Amino acid sequence: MANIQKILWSDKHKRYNNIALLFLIIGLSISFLSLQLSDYSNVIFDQKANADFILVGKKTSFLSSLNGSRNNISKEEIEALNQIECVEEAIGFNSNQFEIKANTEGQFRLSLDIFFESIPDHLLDHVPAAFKWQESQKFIPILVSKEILNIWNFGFSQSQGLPQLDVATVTSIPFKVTIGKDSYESRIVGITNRYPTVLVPHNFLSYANQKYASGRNVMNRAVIKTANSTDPTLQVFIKEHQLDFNQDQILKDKINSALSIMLRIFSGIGMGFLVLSMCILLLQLMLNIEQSKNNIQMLNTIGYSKLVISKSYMKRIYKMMAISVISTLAIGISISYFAIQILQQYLIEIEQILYIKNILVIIAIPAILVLIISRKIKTSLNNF
Amino acid sequence: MILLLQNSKPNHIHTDQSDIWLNTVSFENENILISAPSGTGKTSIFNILYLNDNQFEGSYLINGTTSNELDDTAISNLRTNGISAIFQDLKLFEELSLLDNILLKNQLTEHYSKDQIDQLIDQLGLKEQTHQSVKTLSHGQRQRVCFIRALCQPFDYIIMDEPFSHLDTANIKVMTEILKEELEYRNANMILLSLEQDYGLAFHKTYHL
Repeated sequence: MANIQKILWSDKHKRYNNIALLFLIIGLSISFLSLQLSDYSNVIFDQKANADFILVGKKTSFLSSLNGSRNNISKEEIEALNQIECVEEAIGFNSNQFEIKANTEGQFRLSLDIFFESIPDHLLDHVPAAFKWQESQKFIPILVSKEILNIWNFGFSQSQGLPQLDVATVTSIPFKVTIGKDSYESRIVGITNRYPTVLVPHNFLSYANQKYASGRNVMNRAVIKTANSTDPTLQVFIKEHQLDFNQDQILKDKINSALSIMLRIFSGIGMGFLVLSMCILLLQLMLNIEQSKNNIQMLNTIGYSKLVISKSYMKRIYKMMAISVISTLAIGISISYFAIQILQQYLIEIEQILYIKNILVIIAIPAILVLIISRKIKTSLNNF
Repeated sequence: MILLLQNSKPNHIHTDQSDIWLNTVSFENENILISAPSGTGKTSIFNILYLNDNQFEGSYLINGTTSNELDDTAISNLRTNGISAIFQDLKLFEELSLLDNILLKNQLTEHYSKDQIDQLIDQLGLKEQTHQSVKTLSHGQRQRVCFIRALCQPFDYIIMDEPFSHLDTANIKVMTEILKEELEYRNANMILLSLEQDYGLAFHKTYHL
């Protein structure tokens, strides 16, 4: 079909085609890298696990330290937090209002005063099947945070001459929990990465406070689920009500927000190039068809159907799209690999270099362009 | 193949003394000569028969199907398998060489091998110009290129609009001999549109426009 290509495309249009192809590759590469970097930032900032949850508690003052009084979060403050637009949900932690002792038996004996906290299951990052409690159940399932396990392994166990524990070991050790005169069987059934505390089922702690502390319950701290922890209204509230919170989380969110804005701008530039490429491609294609009108009519007269002529035009478009996808993936994969090498120097591990969904997007964009161009060519040819 | 014209007439032609216009005329496996002086509508009848013109009075049926019912694909199929043509204005692509103009048609139909095309080019005295741009060819040479291109497909009818107008007697003789052989070999027929001459070809019917 070389002859027909010679008739349908002039050298001048080939030049514009090359410009459109260049813009297409730039646009697709920028879009691909934006998607890749966005996925990397999700991994780096562990967004799925922690980004939307911040823990707040009342600030401890010098006076309260002296007189032993406690600063608790009130129900009114929780309600007010829930009224803030960016807050999806705010809820106070239940904490034990009674003494709890835990002791192990067997190879190493240990007796500790411990504490419990609880929140509803839907706010947990991980709910193991065993993390359930029913009244009359004598087994209390426990979730502990990775931080507490680290404190044990790198602090407490060293000073006490006790063994370090990995997750598999720690979840297999049964121990006894004593509350007042009652004794319960217990075991750590999982790890939470979201809350640095010791969690028990919410209904158990409500029951226990009712039973062992005459229903007394105070909220030392609360968890706020929010899409934007840097929201000014939320920040003002936190400041006015003297709430203490994890600054690292806010800083992380700020960096993440800034990165997200930059990636959106980057992505926008990519889209700009794609639109520009599309415009150049369509304009020069329409101009080419108009200028080749006589040749197209002659081809039709000697037996070339408009469908065959349209396919001849599309053959070059398919070639362009294939080149753009292959070039984009080559550029994108190289830069992604290079970016991961740099991140590794900062001890940031990214296990997955490529995301299939991003590759699919990079294939889908040219596919959509092909559909638009194909329709446009058919319409133009049918007008002859 | 049956070509049937029923009360047909192009809108711009005004005549009441024609064998074809406003009459019912059927071409059925016959060699037809349509003879007419200039300006009486030879190219118009060519355009109707070759489905180039759909805006005319009356109707034109091909094997029982009205020309209006044929879509672009069906027309293209007819133009590559049923009806071939030699155009008065030749319709050659000036960007292409003599050979490429022929191959352009042949790659669509795959009717001839490259050797067969070379042989036809040689027979018609165009061997030296094979790779020349058609821009550099004389009108007579171009008519011969157009003739070879018209043979590069299967057909039941070949419609020729003044195909020999710029050829000398020797070239006319070569071309008409090849044409006779091809028609016989393919069991096909021709419709020749000519001023007055029959160029020594045998026709079953002659019509005057």
